[in-house]
Amino acid sequence: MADAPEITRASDAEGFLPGPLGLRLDEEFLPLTALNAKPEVLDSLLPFGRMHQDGATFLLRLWPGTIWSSGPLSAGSYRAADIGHGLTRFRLRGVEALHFLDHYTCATLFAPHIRQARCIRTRLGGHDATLWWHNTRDVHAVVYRSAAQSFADHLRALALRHDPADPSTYPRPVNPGAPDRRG
Amino acid sequence: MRRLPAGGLIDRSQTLHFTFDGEMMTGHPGDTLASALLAGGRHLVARSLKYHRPRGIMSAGLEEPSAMVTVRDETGSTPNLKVTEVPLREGLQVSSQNALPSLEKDRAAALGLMGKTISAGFYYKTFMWPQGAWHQRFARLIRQAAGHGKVDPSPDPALYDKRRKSCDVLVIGSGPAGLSAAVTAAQSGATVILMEQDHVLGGSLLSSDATLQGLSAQDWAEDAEEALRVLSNVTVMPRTLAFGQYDHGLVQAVETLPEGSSCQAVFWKIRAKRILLAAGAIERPLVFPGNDRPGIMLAGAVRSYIRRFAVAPGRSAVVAVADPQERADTVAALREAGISIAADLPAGARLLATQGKRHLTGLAWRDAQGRKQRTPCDLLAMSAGWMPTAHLFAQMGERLSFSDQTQSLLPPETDGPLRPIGGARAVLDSADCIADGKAAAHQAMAELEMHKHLNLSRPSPAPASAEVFAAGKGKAFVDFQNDVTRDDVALAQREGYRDVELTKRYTTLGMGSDQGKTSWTNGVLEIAALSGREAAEIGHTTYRPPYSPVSLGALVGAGTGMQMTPILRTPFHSGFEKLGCVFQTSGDWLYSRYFPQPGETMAQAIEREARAVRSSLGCVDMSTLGKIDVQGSDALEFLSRLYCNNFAAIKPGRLRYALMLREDGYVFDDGTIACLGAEHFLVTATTANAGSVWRHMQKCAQVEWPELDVSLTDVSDHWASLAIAGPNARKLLEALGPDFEASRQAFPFAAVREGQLDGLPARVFSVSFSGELSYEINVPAGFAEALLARVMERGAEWNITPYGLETLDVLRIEKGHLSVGTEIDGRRTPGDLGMGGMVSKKKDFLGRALLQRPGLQAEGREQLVGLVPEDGSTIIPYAAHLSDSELDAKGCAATIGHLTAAIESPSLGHPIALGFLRDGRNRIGDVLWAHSPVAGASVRVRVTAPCFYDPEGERLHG
Repeated sequence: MADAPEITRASDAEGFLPGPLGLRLDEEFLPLTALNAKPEVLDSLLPFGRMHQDGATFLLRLWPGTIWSSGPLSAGSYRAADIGHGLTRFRLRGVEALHFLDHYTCATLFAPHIRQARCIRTRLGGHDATLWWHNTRDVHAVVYRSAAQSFADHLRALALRHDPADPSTYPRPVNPGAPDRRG
Repeated sequence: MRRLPAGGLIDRSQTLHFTFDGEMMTGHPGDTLASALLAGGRHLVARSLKYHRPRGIMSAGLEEPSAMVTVRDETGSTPNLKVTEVPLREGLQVSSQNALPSLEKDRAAALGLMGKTISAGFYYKTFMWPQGAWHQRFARLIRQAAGHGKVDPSPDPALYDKRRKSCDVLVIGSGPAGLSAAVTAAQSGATVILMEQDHVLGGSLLSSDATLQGLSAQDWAEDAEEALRVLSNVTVMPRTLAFGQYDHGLVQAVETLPEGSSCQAVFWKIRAKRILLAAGAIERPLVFPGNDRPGIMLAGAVRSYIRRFAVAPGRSAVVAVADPQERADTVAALREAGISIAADLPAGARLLATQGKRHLTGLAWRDAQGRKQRTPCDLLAMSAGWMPTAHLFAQMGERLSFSDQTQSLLPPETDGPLRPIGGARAVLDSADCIADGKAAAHQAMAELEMHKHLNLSRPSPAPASAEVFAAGKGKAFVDFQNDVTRDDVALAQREGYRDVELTKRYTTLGMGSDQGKTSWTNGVLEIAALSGREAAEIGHTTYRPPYSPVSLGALVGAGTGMQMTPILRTPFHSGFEKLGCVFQTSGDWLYSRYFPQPGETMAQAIEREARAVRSSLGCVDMSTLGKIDVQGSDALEFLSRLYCNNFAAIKPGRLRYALMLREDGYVFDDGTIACLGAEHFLVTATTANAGSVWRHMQKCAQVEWPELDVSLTDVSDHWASLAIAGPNARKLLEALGPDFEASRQAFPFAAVREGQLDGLPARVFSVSFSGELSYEINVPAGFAEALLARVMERGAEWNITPYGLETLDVLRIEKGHLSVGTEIDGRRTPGDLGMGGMVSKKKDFLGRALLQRPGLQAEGREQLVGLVPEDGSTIIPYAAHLSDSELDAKGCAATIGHLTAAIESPSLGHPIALGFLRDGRNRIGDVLWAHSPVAGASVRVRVTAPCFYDPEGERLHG
């Protein structure tokens, strides 16, 4: 038997996006499995609308009857289907990463419930995108593999349209004594 | 030069250069084109739409009806820009519009002498004959004589963007009410966006001499701006025009970015829990004879040019302002600028006429005692009152009501997300506006449960002045942009166009790019006076976005060219690129079309590819097919209900062709069902219907049959699929070293095997679309290139030929296979497609009930047939219609069917076609006509069975 073949990339995303924002976009393979079961079964694993990462184990539940899973997982009464090759995971890194995406997603990423969940299924420039993040400077975005190159190209086109400092479009540093930012 | 030596919000330390109709002019940062033109002594800037009358600058804001120009900069030229809205920049080339040959000497101004002849609706009555001349002559003549600027057809190199934002409170307008509301809401902790169309905040405060809370109006505005600047929960968006309000608190706006930005404009979609509309009010012109001459300006605009832009718009002024307080303020402003007051018209004065050719030189008027006066002047500051700018409010369908008290259309109280405040509800005094903004913001915060209810009282709308001016007889303009006069409105009433919507369309009152900003209230008052009705009865026409014109580039944003929609690529894309593939878009996909060799045309490539598949070996990308993983103890039952054919006996390792119907009994999609295990299936759907079938299956599982134990997973993108087809396909499969037996007996047609293929995890399906022995090899998408490399390397022994969508189509037409969109067109039953025998009579399935409808079971329905030219060689025109008869003298013939596909078959050596023919299967052997008016051809064709190639199916088995 031949050596295990290399997994080819779905896009050319590797490095900084053009423009002054200093955002970096990289494609990284994520071996994902769809775990299907009745909602009540999945509830015991992860509540709906939540993301969980513990070491190499990653769980994301944005569908009532399905959890995306990566890494080791204790056995359960789930039906599994490999989906990892059909999805492309991008990492968008940079100080403005989440703010940048927030300009373009249908969902408001800074809405309180989304900020708390730190994951969302939404659309961006016509692409179905699943986002999650541990902090606003490192955002994971998953799109269908067939749309991966188009998604990367789109983010490049959008990044070109920004300026280094635009006080009208970004929240400013919090001034001492200013009320807390809401929402 | 009319620039004042001091004052104004301009930067005198810098000089900006621009040209107007080739004449070099200058201005300063902070100027608009309007203020710079006035500072340069230029009053005549445009010609009117219809009569080509000389027009100047009437206002200082976006309500400007007349002074529109074409502006050329580094991104190209843009027509119809209002000079009052364009910030001055270095190097602008400004040109006037609608003047033949020049602004100063416009030949078309002679049209003004035909006033009565070309009154409202004249073209409906005049250009009746000869028939056909309208398009050939009249329309062209009218368009030449009347109109605005010309669109620049060259591509726009500027970048635009489209973004979203949300907030608790959106404040539109930064006058006293807007600033007050924004500060109040922000200091209560709400996320606030303050939007201002101008590049500086302050609105009316910038030209006011009022003292507010001990500060000058300008200082008060600066103080409020500073208060907002230190708050992190506030976003201030200057240069941003909110142009539309939509459901659920959505406001759309266009932000024009400063010079030097990466992007020219950004289209914003902003969703707010509360919207405070502080857009102010627009001044109402006086309607009197000759009221459109350059030099006649709204009084508020005069004050603005003097105090904000440090420009004296004249030397000798007449003041005709209804409101006493505003009149005094205007007189004070004129005196500040050193402009002499030629006359301050008293209440009750009758304005008779104006003099001047290209600029105002005098005013004839009659005083309250009836004495006629002639006053030389070069500036007339006029005002009949104010109209609330409530357009955004009314866009959602809420009606404005005419108030006798304010003599304007007022927004009613509302509990919707958008609340007019300040001038937008006719509160005109600056101090009152501040109080109104504060009260409205508190109310909004209380509704959002971010503040306790304070129940602050809100100031009442300011009553209109009791003082009015009368007008003499003559050409008095109501709508300056569309050259609609008082006589035109009267004519419409006389001719029966009394409804406000009819008056608008007959006269064009309130149409055009200003949408009646300065004309509509005057129009309502004129209609009321002429018809003897109350103004409140007249109502108003529909307010629609955009409130003011916005750039189409901004509306499109980044969605141009390859960014217009997502483009899907298969996992073999880059591998095929290396093989010289020509791609084509097919739906959202960028699909391999054909693989030309050097010097080959597309037709030659297709013929070579088809012959290779028929004689030896080819490979084609099938990755775009939908693939759905179905698991569960009820998986078979679920699929059995979804598909109309019977496959209850399917065993692991086998697959079946399957037909899916819609609820109405028509064919929805076809595909295969592969049994991977007792409770595990893989279903394929056509490329075109992959998404629809997935949604349909989910709906059935979740809504129709939730009792079934079934799990669905869309694995379409997970699997790359490469079909190898041709007599040597099995040899290649064996050469790839499968860890399962691939002989004809062990791996027959309509079977599936899972295992390793040359080190790659694979699922192989023995299924064929081409009619040849074929295997669809599926590997995880990340291994697609590895599979392609192995297939091409091992297949070289049989001269493997990659083929694309074109050849795939040729092969399937030869075989009589169906394609979605052509044969499966949403109007066909299984019987129409020759698949009636597949439909199970034993089980229930989705679509069965309505498939029994008499209409779908009737004799004589159109059925799929094959067609060949009677002479064996004439090409059958694509999309031809079938008929029993020749075309008659008029080029008509009774249609009995149509073609769905037509090719020249490389395998058969003659043209063939597929089509639907009424009662087709009973007409096999008949000779018909195939008429194509588009191709200009009629061909005699013979009806055959739809399968032209290997009808026994022997080649499928190898």
